[in-house]
Amino acid sequence: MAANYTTQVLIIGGGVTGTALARDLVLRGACCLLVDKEDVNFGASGANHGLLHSGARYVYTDPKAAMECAAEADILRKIAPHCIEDCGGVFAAIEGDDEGYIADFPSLCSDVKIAANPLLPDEARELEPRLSEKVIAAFRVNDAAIDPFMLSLNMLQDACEAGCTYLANHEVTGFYCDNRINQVILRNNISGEQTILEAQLIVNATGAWSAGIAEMAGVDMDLIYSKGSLLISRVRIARHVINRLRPPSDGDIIVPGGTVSVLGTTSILAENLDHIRPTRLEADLIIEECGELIPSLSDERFIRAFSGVRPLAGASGDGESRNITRGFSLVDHMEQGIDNFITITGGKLTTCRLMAEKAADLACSKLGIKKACATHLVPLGKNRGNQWTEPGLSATQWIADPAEMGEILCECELVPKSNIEDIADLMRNQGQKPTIKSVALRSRIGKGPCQGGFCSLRVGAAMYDNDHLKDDEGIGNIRDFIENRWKGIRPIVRGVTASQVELQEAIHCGLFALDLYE
Amino acid sequence: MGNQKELKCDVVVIGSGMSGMSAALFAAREGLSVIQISHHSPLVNHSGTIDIMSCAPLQGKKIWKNPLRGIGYLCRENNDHPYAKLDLEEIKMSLGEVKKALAQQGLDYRGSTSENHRVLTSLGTLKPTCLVPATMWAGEKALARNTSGLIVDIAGLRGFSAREIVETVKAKWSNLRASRIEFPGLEAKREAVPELMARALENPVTLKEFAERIKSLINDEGVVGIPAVLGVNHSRRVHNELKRMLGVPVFEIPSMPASVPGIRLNEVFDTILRKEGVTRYGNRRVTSVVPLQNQRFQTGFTNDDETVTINSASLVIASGRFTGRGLIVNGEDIREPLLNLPVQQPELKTEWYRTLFFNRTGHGINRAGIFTDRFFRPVDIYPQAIYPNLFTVGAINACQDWVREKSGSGLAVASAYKAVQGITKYCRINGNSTRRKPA
Ligand SMILES: Cc1cc2nc3c(=O)[nH]c(=O)nc-3n(C[C@H](O)[C@H](O)[C@H](O)COP(=O)(O)OP(=O)(O)OC[C@H]3O[C@@H](n4cnc5c(N)ncnc54)[C@H](O)[C@@H]3O)c2cc1C
Ligand SMILES: Cc1cc2nc3c(=O)[nH]c(=O)nc-3n(C[C@H](O)[C@H](O)[C@H](O)COP(=O)(O)OP(=O)(O)OC[C@H]3O[C@@H](n4cnc5c(N)ncnc54)[C@H](O)[C@@H]3O)c2cc1C
Repeated sequence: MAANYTTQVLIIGGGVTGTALARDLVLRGACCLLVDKEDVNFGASGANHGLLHSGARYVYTDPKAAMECAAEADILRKIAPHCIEDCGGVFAAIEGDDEGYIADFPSLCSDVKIAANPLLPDEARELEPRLSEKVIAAFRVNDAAIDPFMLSLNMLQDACEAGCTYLANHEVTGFYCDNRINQVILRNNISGEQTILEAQLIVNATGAWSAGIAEMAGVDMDLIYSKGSLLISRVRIARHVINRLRPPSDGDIIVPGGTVSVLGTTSILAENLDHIRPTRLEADLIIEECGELIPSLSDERFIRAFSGVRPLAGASGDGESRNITRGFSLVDHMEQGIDNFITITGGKLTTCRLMAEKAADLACSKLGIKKACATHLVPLGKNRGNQWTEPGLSATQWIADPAEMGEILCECELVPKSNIEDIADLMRNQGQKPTIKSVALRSRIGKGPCQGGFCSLRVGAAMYDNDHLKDDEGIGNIRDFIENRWKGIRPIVRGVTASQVELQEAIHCGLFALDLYE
Repeated sequence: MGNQKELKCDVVVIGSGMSGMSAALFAAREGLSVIQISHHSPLVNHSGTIDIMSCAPLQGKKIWKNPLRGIGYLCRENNDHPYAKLDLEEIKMSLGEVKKALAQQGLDYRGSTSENHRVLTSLGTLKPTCLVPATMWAGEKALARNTSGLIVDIAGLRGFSAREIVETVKAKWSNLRASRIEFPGLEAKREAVPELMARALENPVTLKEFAERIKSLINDEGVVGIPAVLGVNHSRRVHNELKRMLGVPVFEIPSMPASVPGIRLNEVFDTILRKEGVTRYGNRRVTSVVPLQNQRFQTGFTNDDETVTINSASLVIASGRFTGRGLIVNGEDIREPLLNLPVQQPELKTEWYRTLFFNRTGHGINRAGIFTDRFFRPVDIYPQAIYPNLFTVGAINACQDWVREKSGSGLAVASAYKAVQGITKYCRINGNSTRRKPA
């Protein structure tokens, strides 16, 4: 079969790993095509805690990963300060927590050179007034919060500016291979169209989906899936990252994300990757567990829950998913008889640059490219169209210049019309077609308490006005977007949320009859 | 605390949504003395169309052409549906009476209870509904005939794009074109607020300028669709004038809240009820309802610095569902906060909501609510009316899903009508109608 498209490197997966890899490779002069079956950060990269790990969390279970995190966090602070809020972190133990672990923690940290400064319980409460009265020990660490969307989107933009091509909604559905992958079948998930593609090298950066991709090439990968769910509170609960000082467990981290906090996680072995949704049980568990650190949590309002899947490499059969390493694995499938195929999976958001570096080193050695990695030195780009994921930014800019920024389309997060245009322009320049969902991914649309009930309609209208939508695409766009938000709201409906859901349904189904549209 | 005030009347109505307004109207017209208290004015969110019934979500996808047939079908399948407590004549009569009352105050509705119509919305969808504001009426005929039409939007009006409408509806109405005007007197880049524009168009000078701007865009189109901004208190006049100035029929296109057609309903009901002698307290939350020994009710709320208690022969709770605060979610439980009335609800919390938001059959929680007898009196498990003189009307009642059935206003009006029959009967038997206006 003749190929419709050829490239030097095909990267499958547009999460933090894939986008970091694309950036790394183009900086070394490789020619890349990056594809994602949905869009940037559709997978774990868009469903995580946003914690830039100091490493302290892993000193006990995985000292190597701890050191990697510490080193990488420092690099990201230098090259990508605009994606990071350097808020610092606190580890706190409460009455009844494992005294042995508390006693060992400082030396475990110093063994791997991770700073952990002891705090008296009162000092800890002075830093974080909402901490429980039952705190018995606390430490200050170098944790920070990172915006994974801004990170991936800017890495992608850097890559695209240097010649990388990005295709969203393009899914790899099969390979033609003998001792190498000769051709790749790529399906456009919107039009259903198929493309045949040839590449010198194929890199599988599909996170939890990696085993499925490897299987298409006839290669086995031993992956275990651990689903984790998180909750977003309506307001920011703490200034610092707050960790429970105990061996990693459920509901023991609270990370600030601008004006909100993200609480989590759970860890449940998952079999099926396609129907991952947070459940009510998980939401309740997180509130209960995090409530031990912050007792006033029971009065808090939550606006959404979400889930991601961690692919954990290796040791199958062990039932305890938290005990398996969080380190990453880089596999050259030459060992299994496929010459031009690499998989990079596992790891962390914090270590995505390092993962990309290692994968790119391997790729370059296969391609005969000599140039060394530069991503630890070259500052990450900043693009107008990629800045609107930052909570509060559009609000401050709008207040400064309301006429220039245009009407507010989302009242919860104060997102003006011009944000949508910035994003749509950037997407068009990358050769992509903007949708309500893809604009929402790149902005604060739908992230406030109303969860998109009103703004989806306003954004849709604005997108028709600027020719981004045609025919009745808007209907599918709105439904898609609302269903996507709904996944996260359903598990947390209590009190006030029930009335928001009802109002939204009254508008979408009662008033506009979107439920009946065919 | 400041002063205490005590009032007496036949009927207290809690709520000013479609059901509370209708209950107050029907009761006043029976000569009963009525006091209405409400916390907020939900009608301002109403899109203006009066939906009666067009779809039975549990029974399939059919959209009924005749709402009354639909109701007949719905009630045969679901005996507990609130509509099953009325006969079709009563439903027709109740809506007829509301339609007439609105028209007397200049708010005209078209259509009859035996036919559903399709109203073009700002999303480009066609919403099935029954009684249609006269200002929206010309759209349907033009749609049916594929008349060549012009859809005009207004710069700065959020969530309303003429292009979106034209693009979305073009498979059903192909002969449409989109265009945009600036609202007279509104600076470029300013937000266009529907209510302010509607009030501005009551001024003939502004209306004339508005008409001229639209007229300059018309080529040979035979009909014009515009956002719903044609006046608040004088929509009949503004609509007719505009039609005359443009020389072609004009129809309004309903959009998301806050909506002018809803504000019209709210203001017209206010006028009607004041004329009927109803005493109205807005922005007041009822904080206590006490059933007294002598079978009367005592309703309490604070009004500025005075505490008001009303002693009434009967009580109508028209407090809506979760948005109205007629029902509240309390942990694992759905509760009625005023009298802690028994609430029929799904056994398990997991049955409240479906996995997909747009699931055609609707969410279990929407069928939760108060279970009543045929006069809309809440019942206990036997099932006997808990109080002979307590009524719940509108969306608070169980076993209906007005959102999916498109039955919101119809259920509200019809249940209010039936409840007022019950009240009249109760007052007559007990001979305790005060028959005078409350203080
Ligand atoms: C609940 C949770 C919390 C976490 N919290 C943190 C944290 O606080 N800090 C931290 O450092 N790390 C955290 N992590 C880990 C971190 O999120 C992940 O390590 C990281 O996001 C993995 O990125 P990735 O690009 O490798 O995979 P993913 O982000 O999963 O990307 C894979 C991509 O591949 C695409 N894809 C799949 N199949 C195909 C196909 N056939 N064709 C084309 N594309 C395909 C998917 O659409 C997806 O976008 C967390 C993980 C989870 C699950
Ligand atoms: C956005 C939207 C659009 C709609 N559009 C249409 C439409 O186009 N066509 C249609 O037919 N129907 C429409 N409806 C439905 C309809 O207007 C009503 O919502 C529905 O019929 C229920 O009305 P209700 O009077 O029972 O309750 P609600 O409208 O919810 O009214 C409840 C009232 O009770 C008051 N209340 C509650 N507790 C207290 C208390 N303790 N003290 C004082 N007051 C209290 C509230 O303040 C409020 O005034 C729409 C509804 C919404 C939300």
